[in-house]
Formats: sequence, C-alpha cells, structure tokens
Amino acid sequence: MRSAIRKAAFAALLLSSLLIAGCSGNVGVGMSIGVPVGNHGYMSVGGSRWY
Amino acid sequence: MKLKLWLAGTMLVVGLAACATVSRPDLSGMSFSTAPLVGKVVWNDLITEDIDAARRFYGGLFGWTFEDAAGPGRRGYAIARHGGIYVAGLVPVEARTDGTRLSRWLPYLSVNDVDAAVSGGVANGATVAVAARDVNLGRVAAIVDPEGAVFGIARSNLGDPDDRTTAAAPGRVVWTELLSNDTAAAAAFYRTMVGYDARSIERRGGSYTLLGHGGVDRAGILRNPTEDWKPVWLTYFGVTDPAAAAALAESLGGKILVPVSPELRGGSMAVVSDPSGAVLVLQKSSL
Repeated sequence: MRSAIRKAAFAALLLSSLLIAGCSGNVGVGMSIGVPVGNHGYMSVGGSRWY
Repeated sequence: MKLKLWLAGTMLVVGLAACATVSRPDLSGMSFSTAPLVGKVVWNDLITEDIDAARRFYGGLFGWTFEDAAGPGRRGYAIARHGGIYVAGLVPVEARTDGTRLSRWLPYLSVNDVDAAVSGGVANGATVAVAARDVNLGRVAAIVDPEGAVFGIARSNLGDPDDRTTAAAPGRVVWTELLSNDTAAAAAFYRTMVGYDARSIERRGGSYTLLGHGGVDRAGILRNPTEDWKPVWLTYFGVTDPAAAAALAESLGGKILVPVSPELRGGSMAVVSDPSGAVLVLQKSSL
C-alpha cells in the first residue's frame, strides 16, 4: 500500500514537472548573454560608406 | 499517508496552475522546414537591461504583442508576436554596476551541428560566450567572433521557420548584417563555421559580401563604416517609412544613431537604439 502511494506521488510530481517544462513550448531561446556592448553612438560620417 | 496524498495533489495542482498562466504558443501561422536551413537567421533575442521599457518600445514601434515564456533557465523571458508569427524574444539581464552596457540584439544562425560549429569557430579564433546547451528550441550556443561580434547558433527541434513564414514585412526581421573591420577574414570565418557560400558584389560604389547557402542569401557583411563602432551584428526590421519610424522610435525613448538621408542607401534606412541602448536598423520594406 505504502509503495503504491509512493509511486502515485512520484508520478504526480513527474507529471507536474513535465507540464511546467512544456508550458512555453518550443518557441524562442531566452539565453542570457553577458557580453558588454561597445559604443554605438551617433554616427556623423554620413551614409556614404553604407554600400 | 494522508499527508503524502495531499502533497502529491498539491504538486499536481501547482503544476497545472503554472501551465495555465503560461499559454502554449500558437504556431498555426508558421510553417517549418524538415531540414535545417543552414545559415538562415532562425531566431532573434533582445538581451535587455529594461524589459518593461523594451515591451513599450517595440510594442509601440512595430505593434508587437508579448507572451510570457519564462521557464527553466529563462526567467522573465517574453516572446513577441506579430501578424500570426513569433518574431523575437526578450531576455532580461541585470544592469552592470560598472556602467558597461549589455543590451543587444542577438541573431541565431541555423547550423547542422551546434557542437561541431562551436569547435570549428574556436579553432578559427572565436571564443564561446555561452557553451552549447539544450533549450526548448533545440540546441544552441553563443559565440564571439574573432573581431568581437556576438551571435548565436541553433539547431532547432521544430525545424527552421521556412521562407514563406519569415517573408519580409513591416514589423519583422528583414535582414541581418555584420559590420566588420576585415570583411575577407570575416567571410572566411563564417564560411568555415556556419557553412556559408560567401560572394562579394559591387553596389553603390563599394563592396558588399553576401552570405548564403543553397542559392539563398541569408546575411551580409559590410565593411564597418565608422572607426567609432566595434564590429557588430545588426538586425534590420521592416518599416513602411524609415524617417517616420525613426521619429516614432525617438518618441518611445530610443535614439537616432544614423538618420535617414539620401546618401544612406537611397534614404531607405535609419539606425536607432532602443531605450536600453540595443542597436537596430529600420529598413523600408514593401507592404
């Protein structure tokens, strides 16, 4: 009896975990990238070099 | 015994409730290839130090709506939707106390084998920003190329969104371009790492490198037009009127970095930054 309850509890835990993991589906990545960005301020040289 | 049953029941309810608060993505407006579309930019994430401002900015500028997609390994993540397809993700990051900025657009290039591509990149001078790992989309990694430009690579479990799904339109990503100080070396690097066919063309009095695969151009390399900017991957978003879009971006808290002008590709584009400083290009695209 105790074994059956333990199995049922484990199955419930597994199911809830799978549901949470699958909630957001397979869309997007969401990986955090902590690489600093260089300066990309106002460009005054004009557009003549944007070929 | 009752306690155990109660615990199990509670866990199940919590699981269901958590799922109910995060809706499943609606992919009915998208179609996917069965094999990787090598070199195609198959996803774009905005790394942002202010996700609330980013939602207001991109929602106001492109009409995007957002769905929470947080989950294991992606706290606070949101995905943006436009016209029936998912267009991008928003990843919140903590601002640094030393003042260096982290906000950027990060394109993910499709590869056949993420681990092999990482190895090939490192062997040719790249460093690894985030090691290869499995996420909901599939297997991904983030790389810093030999010049310091950051990009992602991905092998999707779903297949890659096909070219019909990602056809150029206002509010969507329409092009991706590397600003490089050494275009020949950059072309060789991406040819080796990603598997591109690289070819140079002459246009507007200068040289431009197209990166393609299977006869389809997927990205470009432009010689960095200013010494003031570090090499960077730029993400181009479609708009109907670049000047009006740039003005709107400014009114939403962004900055105009390169204004529309006739000598700038015939007035077809502007470069702006969002409220967190992430750079993006507003490109005139057909309706």
